[in-house]
Amino acid sequence: MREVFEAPRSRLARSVVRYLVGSPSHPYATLTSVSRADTFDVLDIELEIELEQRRKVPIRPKEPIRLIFMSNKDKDAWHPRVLSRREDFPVGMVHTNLDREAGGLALCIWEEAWSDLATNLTGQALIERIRTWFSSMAAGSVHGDDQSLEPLILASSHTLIIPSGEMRGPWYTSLVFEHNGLITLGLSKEKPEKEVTSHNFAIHTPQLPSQLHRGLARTPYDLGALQRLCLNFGFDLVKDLERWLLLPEQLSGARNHQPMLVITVPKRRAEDGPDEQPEVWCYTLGQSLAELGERLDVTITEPKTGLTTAKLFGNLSNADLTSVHMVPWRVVQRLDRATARHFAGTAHKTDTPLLAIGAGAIGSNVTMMATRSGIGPWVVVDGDINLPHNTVRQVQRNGSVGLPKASVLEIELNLVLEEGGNTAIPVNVFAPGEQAAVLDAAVRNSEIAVDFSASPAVLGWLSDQPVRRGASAFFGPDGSDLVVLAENKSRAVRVDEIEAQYFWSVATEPQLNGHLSAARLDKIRYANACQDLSRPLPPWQLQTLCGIAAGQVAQLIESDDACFRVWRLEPERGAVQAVVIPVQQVHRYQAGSMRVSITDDDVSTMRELRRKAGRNETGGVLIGTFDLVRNVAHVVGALPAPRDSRQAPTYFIRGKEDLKPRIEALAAGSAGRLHYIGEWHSHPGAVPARPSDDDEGVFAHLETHLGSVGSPYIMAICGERDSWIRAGWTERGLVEGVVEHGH
Amino acid sequence: MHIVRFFPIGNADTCLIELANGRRILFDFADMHNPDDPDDKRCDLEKELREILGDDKVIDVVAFTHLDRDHCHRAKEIFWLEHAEKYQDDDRIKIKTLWVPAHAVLEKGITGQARTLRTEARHRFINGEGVRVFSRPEVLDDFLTERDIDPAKRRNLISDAGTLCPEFNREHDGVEFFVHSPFGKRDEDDVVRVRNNDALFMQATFEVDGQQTKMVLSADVTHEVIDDIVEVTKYHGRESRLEWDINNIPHHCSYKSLSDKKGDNKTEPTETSKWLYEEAGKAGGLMVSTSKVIPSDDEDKQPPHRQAAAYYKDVASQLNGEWVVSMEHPTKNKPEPLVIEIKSTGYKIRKQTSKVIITTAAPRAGI
Repeated sequence: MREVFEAPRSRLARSVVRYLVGSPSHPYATLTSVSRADTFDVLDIELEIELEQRRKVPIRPKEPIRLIFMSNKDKDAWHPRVLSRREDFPVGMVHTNLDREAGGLALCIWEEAWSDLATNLTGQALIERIRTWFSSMAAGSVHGDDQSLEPLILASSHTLIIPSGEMRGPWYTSLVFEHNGLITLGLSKEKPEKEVTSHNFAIHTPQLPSQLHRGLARTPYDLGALQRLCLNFGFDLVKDLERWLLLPEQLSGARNHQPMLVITVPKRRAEDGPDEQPEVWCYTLGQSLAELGERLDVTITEPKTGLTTAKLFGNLSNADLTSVHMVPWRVVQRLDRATARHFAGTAHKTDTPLLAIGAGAIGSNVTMMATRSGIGPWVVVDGDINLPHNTVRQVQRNGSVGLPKASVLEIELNLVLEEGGNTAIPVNVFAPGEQAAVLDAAVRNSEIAVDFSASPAVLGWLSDQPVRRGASAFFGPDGSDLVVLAENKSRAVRVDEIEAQYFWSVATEPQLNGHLSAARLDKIRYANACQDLSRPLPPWQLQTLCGIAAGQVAQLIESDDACFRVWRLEPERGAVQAVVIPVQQVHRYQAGSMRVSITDDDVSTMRELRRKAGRNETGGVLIGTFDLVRNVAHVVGALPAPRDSRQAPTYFIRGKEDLKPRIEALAAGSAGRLHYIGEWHSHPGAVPARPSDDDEGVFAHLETHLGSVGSPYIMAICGERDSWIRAGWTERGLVEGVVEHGH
Repeated sequence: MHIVRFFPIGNADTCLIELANGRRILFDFADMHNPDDPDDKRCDLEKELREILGDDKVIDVVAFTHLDRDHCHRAKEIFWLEHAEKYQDDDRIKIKTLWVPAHAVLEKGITGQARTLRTEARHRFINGEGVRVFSRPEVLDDFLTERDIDPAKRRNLISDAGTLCPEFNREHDGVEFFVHSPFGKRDEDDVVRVRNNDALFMQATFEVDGQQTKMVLSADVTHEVIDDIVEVTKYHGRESRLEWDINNIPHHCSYKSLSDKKGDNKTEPTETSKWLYEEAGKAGGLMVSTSKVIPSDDEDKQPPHRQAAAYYKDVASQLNGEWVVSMEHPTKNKPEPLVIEIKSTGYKIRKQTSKVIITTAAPRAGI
């Protein structure tokens, strides 16, 4: 027994033998022979496969395989070959390949790089992996529906880079590069300004009829084999080559040009399915067009003059096609947005026009990551120019210092993929000047308009714009918190209303404790981190939070819902905590230029306090935010009656105990954005929620004290069936509204 | 997913079905292993069963296809029996409904395990609950009237051949059981003769996501019985009730279940048996022989017979299916229970290498 163990020279082969012969539990595989062939160790094994009764591929309960291991010094770099030894193994299946090296039907068992896999692959793991491969093959799940179609020919060596999009010429050589003896040849759809002549390839690009997706065919290494494959696919390649070789551009300088074949094969997944991504095969054939023409008996080249002409009485059937050796190239395609989405795992399958307002620290990084994910195209709006310190946090680099941020970002984004389409409007949204119409069109056409400006004023502006959906992403003042606010698809709650709820939550939610504590109250700017030079913000911190923001943009595209989320990064530990807060519905009232809103939560609070007060009236103060420029006020909090209030069945006199410190704490907790904004009280029993004479007195009192200082003043009455609200604002007017309680 | 298990217990039968909804059916229980013999490769069936059941020691239906030792050995030690207190301690496994052929109620002159189970079947039948007897109903009339019971009041506990067992239905349980035997057959004089001494022969039809998987459980029937079953079923135009994806082939791979003649190397089946296996078997079908290892010679007159095995194996191969012998799965040296998953894609035999090192205790360490 020991001799069997030691027979293979490869350690992995010995591990497999030891497992199959010595495992205390049944390995569902039997070793039938161990042998050596040259530098290889060869193990023949019969596998017992776990199979579904009804299988898509006729795999059998017992499958004979051969494992071939390299035993010499290169053994670690050479992945073991796995061959089916069954004569009638279903060929033409995906993930099988007639491997020339191994001389049989080789199975594509490994997805990972062998160097990564080898570190953990025990003999048992190898056998189990192969058994699982057979089971999955039988169930038809080896090749997932979301996996790219199998290339029909394995490629190697030189690399051809083709343009993105439709795989159809004409293509022009845009790049030739030699690295470690291997050539990289890049093709473009546009003719380059300066002709690239290195290597002098003459490129022929025929297209074959559409083929059904199937397993790898044997890679052709000579024209005879390729011609047979093409004839199978319904295309006479050699006839086509003859026609091409006789074109004047090929005949002239035929001795100096090396023929290159770039063959496009459209593929489809099912017989009656549509063509999906085509496959491109690339070969170089022999040394020159002249040589190829002579081998095909199509052209003749005069040795003295070097002139190539069509050969009189030449006949293709005289050609020995197998003597025309070919070198297959690896073909890769540049990415457009659709393929970028595929490789990035982006769920959304189509382009999404997006608007970014702000091309600074957050905007530039989020749009860059989104672009790499195939999310876009973006219109970037920013009126600033790049300053030297921006390069620490932004995508824009030193070379663009002094240039408009938006324009530079447009260029950077368009360089990421082969497909561009990102544009810039380098203006301030408040002063678009001649760009006003362009900006308006961008606002209307984008699926989501995202404010990255770190400016509450811009957020307010966005709320009033005819966008399809508004969102805002900004940092807390110390740069360690990210906030994402977004409207739902129907814009039921506008982003400025969500922002008002954000201020209330920051001041009242323990999870958001300290979020705005570093803000400067003298300058109302919650996200001053990005502009404040005195507060260095490490790029890693910024990139971490921008990465999350980019992920949220991707999620927003997929989701119809509104969003209010905060991510809090602990720089020491690198931990990020997500705080998700539900967006409250609001009741919105407008009159003239003035708009006021109150959240569902406020109405519920008033109703609950009213219920608890029983037959007495009760009340308290209203807390909210306002925007003096846009004439908008949002009520986000209704506080209960202070202890010294007087409550009776027919009246309520709001007291003042502890009220001032409480309101000051709310203001401090919200960086000064939450204000006392008015009064509310209840009407007991069936008394309608409409102002009495006394109530009108209260409203006049509010007008006197708040109206005079320029603040909006609001009174709310909570009744049994509904709540009533009235807001006044000097020079702006008066708004009234009723909230039906419903249930 | 439903799970069907067969156990390596030599020439004996036990098949446990666990339905996706948690209900369980046990066909026969024969704990044959000898704990004193270290070379005995048969499994400790009681231990296996208890491990599967866990703390829920109730089985919805336990069917005894007949009362031979190789179908009920040690049943009276394991199960809670209603008829006597001595079979009623907390560790015993309770049977909600007992399925037996009429023979198990009526047979006389039996001893041991069989007698105890007969007493239990009679007790339940007389009491009118927890039992289903398979037969032509009239056969049991005398037994009931002798005990002052109106036979009409026990009709609901009797199932005749050609009907579905009411304990299970496809809609709620994902399975139905069709009874083929015991059955009556018209003789040449057009008189129905009840083949009452026969064992249970059933077809289970599983359904998962609208896809059916059928299993034939044939117990210890001879080819004559099979011939009659096939003929009667064809007569009624119910061929689909003999179709199978899984076939627990009869009588531990005895040639007598295929033909009167063993054959030199391969048993040639009767025409009807041939139809049952080759025509009614579905693509990829699984044949299970609950038996000892198939011998390479003819020394032992008892089953399994290598000639019968050769035939079944050929059928499995023709169907691109599998042939499994309970004492050879996965190896002759170390047989293990055969675990079959039933899903919309048909059956699948579990072939998972056991992680012995983490599923068992480590050996003692220390000085």
